[in-house]
Amino acid sequence: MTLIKNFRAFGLVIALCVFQTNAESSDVFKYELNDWVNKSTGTTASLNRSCDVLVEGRLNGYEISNLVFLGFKNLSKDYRYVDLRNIHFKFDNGQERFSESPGEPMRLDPNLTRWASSLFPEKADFKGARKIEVEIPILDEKESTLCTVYVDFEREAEAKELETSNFSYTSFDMDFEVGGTLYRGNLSNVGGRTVSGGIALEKYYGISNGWLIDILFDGFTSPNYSALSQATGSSVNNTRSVLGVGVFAAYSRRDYLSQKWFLTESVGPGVYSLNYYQGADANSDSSSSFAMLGRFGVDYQLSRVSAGFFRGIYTVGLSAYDVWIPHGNINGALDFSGQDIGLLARFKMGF
Amino acid sequence: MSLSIFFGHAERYAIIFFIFIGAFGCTSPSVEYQLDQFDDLVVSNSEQLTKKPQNLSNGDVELTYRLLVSNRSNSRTYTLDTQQALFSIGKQGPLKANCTPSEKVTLAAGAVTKITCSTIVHSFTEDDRRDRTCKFVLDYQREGDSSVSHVSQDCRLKVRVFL
Repeated sequence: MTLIKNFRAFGLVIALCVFQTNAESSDVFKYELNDWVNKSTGTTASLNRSCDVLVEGRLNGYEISNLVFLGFKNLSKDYRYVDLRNIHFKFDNGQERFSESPGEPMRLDPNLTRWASSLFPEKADFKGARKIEVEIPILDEKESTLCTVYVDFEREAEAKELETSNFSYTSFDMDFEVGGTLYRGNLSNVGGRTVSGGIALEKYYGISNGWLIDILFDGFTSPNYSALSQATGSSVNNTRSVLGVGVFAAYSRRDYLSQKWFLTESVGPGVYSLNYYQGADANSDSSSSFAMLGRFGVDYQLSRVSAGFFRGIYTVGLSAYDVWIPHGNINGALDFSGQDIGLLARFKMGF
Repeated sequence: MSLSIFFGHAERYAIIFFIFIGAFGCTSPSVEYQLDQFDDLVVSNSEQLTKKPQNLSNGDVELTYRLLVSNRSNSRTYTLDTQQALFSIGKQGPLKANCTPSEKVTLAAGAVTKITCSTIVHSFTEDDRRDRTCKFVLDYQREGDSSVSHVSQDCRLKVRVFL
């Protein structure tokens, strides 16, 4: 239930972000593709007019997809419509695509300014391109084509192509993981088998470098009650359950092998805490120790959603981790120091 | 097992974290986007910024207006007189604007230019803030025509202008 609430909170924030993006055109101007900026104007903006319709286009790039911002003004006395579904992109590298923008044609009232965004199907289409022509069909009131207005973009000769402009990636990932430990060092003094899980929040700046907050759980399925009770000075068999929790802040690096496969490597310090719950009321107590985390993950992209509420990249993968606990013990009587090595299967939502 | 205790805390932290991301990751200044045509000039005001610089006294704000001007003519040249740019804000004005470039801008057929103009509005009142209306006027001349015409755009101020 609490997890469901977490999702609600998360959904609310995402919904607010989506609302703001739709409400304010200025948002899109902050994300123009730097390698396509015209030096003389400092923007990617291109202005044009056709059949009494003014149009401004700008190239914008987000982590997952690129889009073209389109501002329109209808100077005629009649309604005009922009056929958003049939906007056509022509790249000088030979690629030709139709926009992924859904929906009905957008009505332009006489003398009013409106704007829309049109989504490029693949960021990879930008690779090697120096010119893009956007063809925008303008319809009359009977929704038959009146004219086509063109917006052209050009990457200047000296402008170096940026990988962030032609590669889909994420800047914020949430990982949900489950698995088990493979080797536990002195943690095996605490008891039998361990079921492990984890939740990680990853933030990347650009494609490769970022940080993560990782919470790892070790649930001991059959703790050594006798040793735990002795270490804690309690009567025998007083311990009800044991949970190991590691909280880490780590540097994380991401290496894409292809658009679908990528590796992550993380390393950072944290705290590993052994929580034991004792007595009839399950009173909790814990012993904490400094710890270091090392992680290696391999992930495969299941799907990429370019627009809408579920916009994101969804992946599955495996993550191997090594938690090093140099000085872990309970009252000096039960040693749980050493390596805690495990393997987790994970589902990752990236935005 | 008292996992629920931990998740209780985790939930709070997650909500705080996401609100933090939501508050700082998604906010942006508002702009009333406009696109206009004056003779062969297509003009967009896609970036309009209001701010209060540190060195200004209470009640003063600086308005910056960024125009993109494209000459869509096939042959005619236009001259934009950036020394004759004016703002009206609320009931105040016209106020002289300082523009970059500060010299007259000659815009050949097919060319595009960016002009940034700003002015400081003194004694900006609560009424001005609520009013939100502003107007920007820039003189231009068409090649071979001695008469002066105006690029004139009605704009709207950002909602949150600090007093």
